[in-house]
Amino acid sequence: MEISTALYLTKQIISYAIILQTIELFQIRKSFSDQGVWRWENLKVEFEIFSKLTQKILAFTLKYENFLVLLSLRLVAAIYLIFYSNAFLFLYLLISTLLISLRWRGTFNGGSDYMTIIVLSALTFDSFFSTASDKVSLAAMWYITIQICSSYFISGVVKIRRSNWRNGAALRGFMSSTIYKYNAVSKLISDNKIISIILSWAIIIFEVGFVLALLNPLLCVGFIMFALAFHLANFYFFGLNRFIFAWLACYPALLFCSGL
Amino acid sequence: MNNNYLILVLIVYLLVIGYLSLLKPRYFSIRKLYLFRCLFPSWKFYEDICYQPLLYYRLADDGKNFQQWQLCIEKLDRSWNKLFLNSNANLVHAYGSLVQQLENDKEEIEEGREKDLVSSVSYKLVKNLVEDRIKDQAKFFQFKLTLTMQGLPQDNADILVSIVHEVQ
Repeated sequence: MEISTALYLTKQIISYAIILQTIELFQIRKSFSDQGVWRWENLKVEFEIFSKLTQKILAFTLKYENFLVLLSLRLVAAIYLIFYSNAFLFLYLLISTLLISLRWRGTFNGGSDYMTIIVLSALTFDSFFSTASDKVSLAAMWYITIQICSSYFISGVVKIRRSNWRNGAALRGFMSSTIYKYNAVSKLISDNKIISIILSWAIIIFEVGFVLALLNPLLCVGFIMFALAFHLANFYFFGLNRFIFAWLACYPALLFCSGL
Repeated sequence: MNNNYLILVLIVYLLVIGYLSLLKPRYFSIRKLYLFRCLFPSWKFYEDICYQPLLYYRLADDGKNFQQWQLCIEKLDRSWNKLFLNSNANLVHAYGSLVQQLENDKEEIEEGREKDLVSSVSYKLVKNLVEDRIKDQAKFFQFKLTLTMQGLPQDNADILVSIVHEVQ
């Protein structure tokens, strides 16, 4: 894969991911309205640790009506970036993602926010400076690749040292405490020790071994296929749909780096 | 990847982050850093089962004779149709994080200063959450956090019982 193709695909996928994330925030706007759970009146106290000027800027940006404007502009910017490239719009997406995280007291959706920020940082950096040197795009691709490999590797390493993961108890515990009601499939996994042990080890081996995807592009495609199935399962059992698209945006960079 | 130098660098990098990820985590005590934690990725997803706080509420019309405790955040039905837009599930995850934050705030509060918790942002937001869920079902409510071991629903303990609140 050429670096230009990898960059193009990364930009496309992250733009679609941001469109979906923003629509989701619009759908739950009541929760951060002036009568909602995360009302600004209660939240603003938390920002008193900043300077008066920063507080004023944040109060202006994050109060309900203006926050809706910020989201609307984010949606428009992401749609624009599907068709055209613009460094300032990538910068806007990055800043708006940070502001959204602040509005939710650090992050809205944990891992997917981390990965969105990583991809946007790399693309913003590339958009501003790639004309200066070819190595800028290469650095952006490697940054994304190292982060995605780290995400699986660290997640796998911390599991392998836990006896609860090695004997399947952790997976059974997580399956029985998701946000979803029990169904036949989740019951099968949480009630069956053998199945939970096999699945636990499959997850651990996949996560720790993911870095092998860098060895060659064919192996990389295989790992990406497995990763997609893994993220779909995470969506099905835990409702983590945002992770699919945020991680998907990293695969073109990974595939490019595997071919170097 | 055919570059031996790159492979070596990558192996060293993975060994270092693998070692670092096994160290005891240091939690943010500085509020500014905590608010910007999206800039410091933690990839330790689903590290281990642990005690999870669950939010319950109970209602009363007179502020004294309360009904039974009820679970505040109910479980959802899953559907493949929500692959692209799953706002309710993500909102429920955010509720979960909020309840977790209240538990953390409670743990951090010094002995003898428990009353300060009522004025904390987490407490106020959780109160908003309960009020939002109960709508106009009663005039007074109370909420509590119960720790439950994931996978062992019978193993639980109350860690916080709120004061009685009047529905706004």
